[in-house]
Amino acid sequence: MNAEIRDESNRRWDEPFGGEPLDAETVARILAVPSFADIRAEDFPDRLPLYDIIANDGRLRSYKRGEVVIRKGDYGSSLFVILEGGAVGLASGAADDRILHGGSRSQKSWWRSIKQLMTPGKAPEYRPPRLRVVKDKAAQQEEELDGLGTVDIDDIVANNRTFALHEREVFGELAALTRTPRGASIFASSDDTLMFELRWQGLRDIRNWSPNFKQRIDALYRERGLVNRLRECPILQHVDKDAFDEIARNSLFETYGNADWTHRFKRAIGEQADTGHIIEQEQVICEQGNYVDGLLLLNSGFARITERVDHGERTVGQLSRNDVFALDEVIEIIEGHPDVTLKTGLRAIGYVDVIRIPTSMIRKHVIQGLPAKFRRETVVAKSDGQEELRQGMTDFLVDHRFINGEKAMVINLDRCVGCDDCVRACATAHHDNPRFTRQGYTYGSAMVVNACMHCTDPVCLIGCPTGAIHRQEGSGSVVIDDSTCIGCATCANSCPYNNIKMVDIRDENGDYVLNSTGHTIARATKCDLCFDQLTGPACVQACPHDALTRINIRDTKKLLSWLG
Amino acid sequence: MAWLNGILNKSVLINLAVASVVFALFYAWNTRYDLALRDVQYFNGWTLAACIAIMMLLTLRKRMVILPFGRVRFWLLVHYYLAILTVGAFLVHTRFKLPDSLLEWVLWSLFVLVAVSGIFGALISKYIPPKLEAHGERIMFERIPVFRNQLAIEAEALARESVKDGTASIAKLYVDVLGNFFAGPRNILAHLHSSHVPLARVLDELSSIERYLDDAGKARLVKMRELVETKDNLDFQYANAGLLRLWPFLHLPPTYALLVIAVVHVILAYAFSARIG
Repeated sequence: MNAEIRDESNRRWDEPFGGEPLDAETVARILAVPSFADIRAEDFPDRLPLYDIIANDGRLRSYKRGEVVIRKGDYGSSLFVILEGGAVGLASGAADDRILHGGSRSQKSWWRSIKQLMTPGKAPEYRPPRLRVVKDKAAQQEEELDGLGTVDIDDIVANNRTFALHEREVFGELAALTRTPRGASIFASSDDTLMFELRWQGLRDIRNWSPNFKQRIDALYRERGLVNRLRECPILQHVDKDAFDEIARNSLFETYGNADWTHRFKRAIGEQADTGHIIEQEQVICEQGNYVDGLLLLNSGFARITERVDHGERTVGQLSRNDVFALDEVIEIIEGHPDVTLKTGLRAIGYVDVIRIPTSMIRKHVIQGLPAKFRRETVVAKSDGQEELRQGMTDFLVDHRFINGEKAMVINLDRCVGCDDCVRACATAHHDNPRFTRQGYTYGSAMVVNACMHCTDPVCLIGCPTGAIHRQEGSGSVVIDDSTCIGCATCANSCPYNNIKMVDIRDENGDYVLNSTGHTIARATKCDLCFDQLTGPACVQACPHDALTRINIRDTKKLLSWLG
Repeated sequence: MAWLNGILNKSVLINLAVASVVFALFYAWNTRYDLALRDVQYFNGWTLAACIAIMMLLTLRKRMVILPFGRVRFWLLVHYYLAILTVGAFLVHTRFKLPDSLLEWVLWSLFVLVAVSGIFGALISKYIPPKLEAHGERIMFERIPVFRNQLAIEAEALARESVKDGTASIAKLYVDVLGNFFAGPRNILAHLHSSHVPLARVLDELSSIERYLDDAGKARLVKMRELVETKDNLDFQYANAGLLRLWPFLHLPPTYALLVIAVVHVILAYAFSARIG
């Protein structure tokens, strides 16, 4: 048997980004680009040479004029460098919804779905031999490189506010570094535009080992990130471009909490059944009654709004990306009440990035024309009948940090008969390997199931050495590429909710596949939201009693309405 | 009957009205055929067979869950409302009379069993989940034996511990009553109709020995009382969740038997009839 087939252990660069590693000449050309020119190869460890990172984690892409390079709103995980030609960027507006909002492109065909249903079950966690997977992968990559579509570039430039990107310029670093959606759409502006695309694990490693590169990319991130973030903020939508620049110059980046919050959180949540102690671990950003020092805009992460009650703190709400804090107080100060202090406190849930916009900037550029809906916005629900429910539910969702979940699986226990059709459907969709068990934390009739929630901030991605766990372009679902997972369990340990499971893979006879040292080979597995199925999540399809849904946990209104 | 109010909401009433209209149309059509002196048994028989065939699609849909044919929830609703039509079609097909031959008796009995078990399943699927939810922590059915075993071990350890201290009352009660109570699922029927009598009986037995105990013994009694209450909740979950698991076995095997006998019935009907019209 071929050695490649026998050895099923995945390694870092088993599958180069471009199918084949880049040649020496191309690598040298890329390293000559200004952004890469001051990277010193000797800064890199022997196991992670700079040359190999560029050669394996990068690929060349050619575009024709008008071809879409990246789409605004897609979850991108790579950085681009223009080697030849140029590009045009469109930050706002949609030139063509059909092109700029493409759906998932990796769904199975009807034929493949029927074939999957007809194929008899194999051993649990069976994996086909590597050679076959590599062939499938190559076909898939070819399909991916087909492109995202083409637009009329002249029409876009004529009818929209665009910006130009020239040879040797870098873009896409923001989404790749922050695991967030692309902030702009980019189109090739000339025929034979050649770009170098570096996938995020390569970008991360170069940034980790090269101080010069880190400095350059971070500066770019701050420069573009701050203005982009301010533009995205709903309360600044009426502000003009020049004002944005001034606000950006005067604003401050601040960070709170601990970047390594996952392990502390997992320890704390396991300590006792009650979660009242969790709040004590969260760093205070602002205390109730403090001086109002500008408006806070959440750049990333989550924060808990609190109100003092007797000897404790009550959670009255939570903030996430693009939400603001202390707007009411700032407005009151501007309206002539200088003695106003903060009416509520703010704590960092995990790790939080905030932008502090000075009161003077709000007075000068924001207050005039600010839509009425943002003023005197109350966070606390006033309805007596529902407040108790919402308070308990809020505590439950915030203390367990479920608010991170974009597509959390919630079961309504008032309707669930325990038939396990959801688990069976999951097994059907994953070759007889269910990716969740019907258990989890409960509050009232809601059970948040131990299934991947496809988090807003997927911390499981951070440590993956090969980038096997990644956001799917387009949908943003967090998925694991089985053919590049090396089974290190970093993601499983990083998941704050224990929703990633490690499994030992087997061959067609049901025997464990062993590596060259005789040990079993592990792979990380989790709910992938059935991203490749025609139906979407099979669990939702299968529930006969409408007792299961996938929901954004921060949409409490929808959640409560669904729970009934 | 609050649960009945929960079931009969606006959309259910609309769907019932639609089902009634469809049945009325079927009945009118059937009557028209009858008045025209055509053999209506073929018409209403095949209508009945078609309804059953469409209802069977629910099972098929569940197996083909990765194909986009609509959510199983939709197919279950179709199944429910079609079931009403099917019962109507069945009554029309049997001319509202009891059967008069062995095969027809078998067929009739199977149909009744399938229909009754189906209605029973639909009702308990609505009624039991909120009842389980209201009773305390919901426990996975498969894990109940594990928890029950843990409780039994703890209870026995508590009884043994009391003997070491020279207190016989708890150990005696354990031998007489509690050992059996913790050994397996108990009071299933009582739990199905939410009776607290069996639990009260065991708790009374515990209270009756309290006067013989010192402080350490009383502390053990409190612990034992907690174990008894936890076990009672497990039995409640086991009884009710078990019923939810059991009822498909009353519905599905008779359904397949019904299909087989129905095929025989059709063959015989065609073989021995002189069809008119």
